[in-house]
Amino acid sequence: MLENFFQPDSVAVIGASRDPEKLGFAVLNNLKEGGYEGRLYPINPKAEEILGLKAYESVLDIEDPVGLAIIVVPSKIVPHVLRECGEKGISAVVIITAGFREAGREGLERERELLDIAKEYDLRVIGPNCLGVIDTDTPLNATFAAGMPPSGPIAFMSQSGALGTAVLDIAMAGRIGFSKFVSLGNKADVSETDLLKAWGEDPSSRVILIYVEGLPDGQEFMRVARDVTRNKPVVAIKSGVTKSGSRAVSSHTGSLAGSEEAYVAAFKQAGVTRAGSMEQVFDYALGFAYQPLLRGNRVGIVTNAGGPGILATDAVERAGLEIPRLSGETVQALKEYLPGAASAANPVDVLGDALADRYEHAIKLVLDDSNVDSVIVIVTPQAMTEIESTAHVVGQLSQESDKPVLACFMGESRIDAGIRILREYDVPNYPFPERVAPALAAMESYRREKDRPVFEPEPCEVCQPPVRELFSQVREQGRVSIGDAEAREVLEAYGFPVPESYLAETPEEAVEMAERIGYPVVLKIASPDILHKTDVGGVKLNVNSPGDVRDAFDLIVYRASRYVPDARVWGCLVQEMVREGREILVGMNRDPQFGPLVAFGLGGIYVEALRDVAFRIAPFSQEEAREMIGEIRSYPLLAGVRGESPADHEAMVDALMRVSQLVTDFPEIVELDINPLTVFDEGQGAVAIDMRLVLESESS
Amino acid sequence: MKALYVTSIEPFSGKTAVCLALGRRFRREGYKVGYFKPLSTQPWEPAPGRALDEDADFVRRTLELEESTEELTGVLLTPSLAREMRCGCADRDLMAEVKPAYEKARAGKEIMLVEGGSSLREGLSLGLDPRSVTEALDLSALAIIRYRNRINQGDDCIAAYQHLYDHLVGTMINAVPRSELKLSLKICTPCLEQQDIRVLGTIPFQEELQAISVGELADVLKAEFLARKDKADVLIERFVVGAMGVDQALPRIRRVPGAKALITGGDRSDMQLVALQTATRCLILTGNLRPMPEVIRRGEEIGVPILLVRQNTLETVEQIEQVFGKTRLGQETKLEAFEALFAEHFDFERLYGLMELS
Repeated sequence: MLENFFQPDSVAVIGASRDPEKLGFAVLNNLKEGGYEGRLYPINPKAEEILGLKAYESVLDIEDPVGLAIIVVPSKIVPHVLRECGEKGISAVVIITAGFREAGREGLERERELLDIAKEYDLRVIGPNCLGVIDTDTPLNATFAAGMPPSGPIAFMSQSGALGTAVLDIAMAGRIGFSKFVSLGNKADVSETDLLKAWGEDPSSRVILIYVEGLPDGQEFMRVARDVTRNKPVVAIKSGVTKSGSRAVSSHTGSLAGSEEAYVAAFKQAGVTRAGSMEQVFDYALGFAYQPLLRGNRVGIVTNAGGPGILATDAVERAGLEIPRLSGETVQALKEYLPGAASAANPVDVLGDALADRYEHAIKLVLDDSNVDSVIVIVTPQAMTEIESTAHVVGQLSQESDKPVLACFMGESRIDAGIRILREYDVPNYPFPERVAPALAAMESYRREKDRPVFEPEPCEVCQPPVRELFSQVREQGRVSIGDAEAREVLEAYGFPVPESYLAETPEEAVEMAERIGYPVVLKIASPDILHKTDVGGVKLNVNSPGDVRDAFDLIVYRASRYVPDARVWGCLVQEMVREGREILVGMNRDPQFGPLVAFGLGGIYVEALRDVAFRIAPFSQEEAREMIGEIRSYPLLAGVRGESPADHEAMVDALMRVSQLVTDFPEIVELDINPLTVFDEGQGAVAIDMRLVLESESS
Repeated sequence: MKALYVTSIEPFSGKTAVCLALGRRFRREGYKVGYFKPLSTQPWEPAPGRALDEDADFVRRTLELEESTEELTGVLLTPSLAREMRCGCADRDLMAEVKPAYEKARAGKEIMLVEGGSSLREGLSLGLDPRSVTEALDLSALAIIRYRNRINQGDDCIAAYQHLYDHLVGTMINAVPRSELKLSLKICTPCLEQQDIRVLGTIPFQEELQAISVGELADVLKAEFLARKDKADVLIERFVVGAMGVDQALPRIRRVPGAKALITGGDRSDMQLVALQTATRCLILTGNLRPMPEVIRRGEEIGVPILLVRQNTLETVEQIEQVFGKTRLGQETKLEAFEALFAEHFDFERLYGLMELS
């Protein structure tokens, strides 16, 4: 799958040129200079020979089979040459040419034409409007970028070609090495998901980096990423997360940027490491690519300076990692070796006058300590510091150890020689402690994700037919909203405990029902058009007598017709008054890219004022449901504060699982809110008090 | 010859629709049907210097009448006539002009449908109010009451009765929300009947009839079709304005049921793409800003017409508000929907009996 993009036996450059100013020259030249060893065919009807290679009028004139074609001809004739590629039986084509979807209506039509041709001949296309493809193992440089990056274990894909050129330039400065590099351009055919799938099985890529603007096939991406991240880390940066950024994505690419909450949830569930900045992308990538996987979250620090050591300690703890106490033996051994003024506790301070040998002893002892899972080595360039020898020491110890060693050689002019040496040993260096800690944290959270049991949805016992019937009734009436009165049928069918309640059309009926339930009761307006009942004064709690029931009925119906004059009012729902508990909200919004995005938070003001909500994409596992509950900031309120008993966790997990199943079973539900779900103390369950949902309106 | 005068208490109650539905029914039953509108208060100018009544013209075309629109109209209240008549102090007797026109229009017809005033007061200062017309031309009147609530239904029916007395053959309550239909029939109808006010029909509200077609919208907004002009007949029942962030937009759009159109800036690609993922039937792009080609392409593909207008979003909404719910049953589908509703909820036998039709 996609092999011919990276290890083709032969490459045709359609639109190869003799003019060094042209892309067609740059691409062919890069292939040659990059050391490509297969056959190269320049295609140019006006040339006999280009760069010493025999030129052909068309790919159809080549006798041998062709593995990969690179197209750099003007956009108008791209469809024609693509068709020729199809006829030639070429299965992989990179279209570098711009002037398609990004260039207006006509370009869009032309891009669609390319896609049709690709389908017809069963060939895959990267681009159009892209920088090209690089594989440093083959080696193959089919781009018009300036030069070839050093090889390394990092695979990088980017929707943006320009960002790609900048990244390649960084690589060429020697900071990072790539196994593969692809600029996806307009993504007419091959998408992030396709490459992810292919690179997941690529032995020369240890980590995959993705720059994402939008993922139209979000659910498929999640499915693939879930598999890939079991074997290797995937680091993604998502742009267009702010309101303005999201609009920029839409007007830049003509696709939706998608909601930030959905991306957070999707990446988390798929085990994708999310970087917040390009800097982090590379900070994380270096750790993943060059160091062994972490086995735990305990970080040892060895430093020759107190201040940076404390900064690192803060940064490590802030990143959610632990600064463990070193074992007695380690401390003892350190004390014996280090000068009296040094600190033998973590962070270990070897003092400013430490030479390479002191570092060596200290690092070795800390690395060997079973309380430590990784080590950060901080070096500041002090008068006596042996920068280069220390770098060699760090490098050698890192290679001998199966624990990650990350360096923090701080400075620029003097320290640079040390950093170069570290690179030779594959030890990533971070200029400041605040950058090394998040990189370790990313490695740690990947470790946890990787170890997570394989996801399997666990079905709950539910009853679909009544729900299906209700939905079709609602749709027949031309409605999309389902309020409390009807929604309880859905809840009951899906096994949610609901309070006893009945619909009353008249005050007399309401009294009758209140007597049946027993006082006190709650009266709520029953109308398919009023979803926010309290906003119109449509709820009355604690109604205690027949007279009060009658009054409440009249008042509520009057208010409803006054504040929502067009609303259809069915009457009032008379409901059992549920005892107090902790009120939470479980909701769902169907995301256009990822599907059902389920929300969990404390009910009422917490949701609206603090936006304290955790999200997951359904279907999810019980474990993920449990994580959601623990993720909200106000979780301590559920766990119980000051001797309060904890809320019933199992009941909350159960509710989340039932919602997950409901919205998976019925894709027509586009919005759902259970607010509140009243949760009682541990072991006492929960009751869904109120629910509303919105169905997708049917298109004509 | 039999004649029925169709009047209402307020404008946009459905008079023309009732004339059309009755007219088509009578025709199907083999009657020679005629139409006449004694007073046209808002003549429309299809060509410079030529004033016509728009309703009359529409009825003429729909019922395929042979007469010219001018022949179907009594008096056209042009600005000059309005000046001449002042507030009822002029000597000119307009009824004397209406009568011969009516005589001419009904010649050779078996049933005449006479479309009356939009209110019981209309034409009082001209001497052409519903009561004067029914008396002068000796017509039986059917009053169309647009439902607001049960009290107003009673008020309007009693007002019609007090104005028209013996000439009032019956009333028809129009556009009753389905949720109130039962109570209207159970409580109001018997009570009105007790007061000798016949309720011949109680017609439920149907959203589709309020709808406006994409073509009509394009006319009103002077819009350019960017995609699917062939879908000009698509009916729009509701409008959503997309002026918020795209995250809030999706739930807003989804909560609107039925046939909806999105009004948003031409530069809001995010909003347009989101709307195209929902069951939105039309995009109205404002500010004369052309959208991304993807948007047009997607519209073409899934059959969603896209209109481009010069106005900004607010002006567009205001213009739509002015015409919404006031358009004629221009599409055959809308007329047929009304006819079906009318046939189900109107007591024709009783009307025929009252009009002494066999």
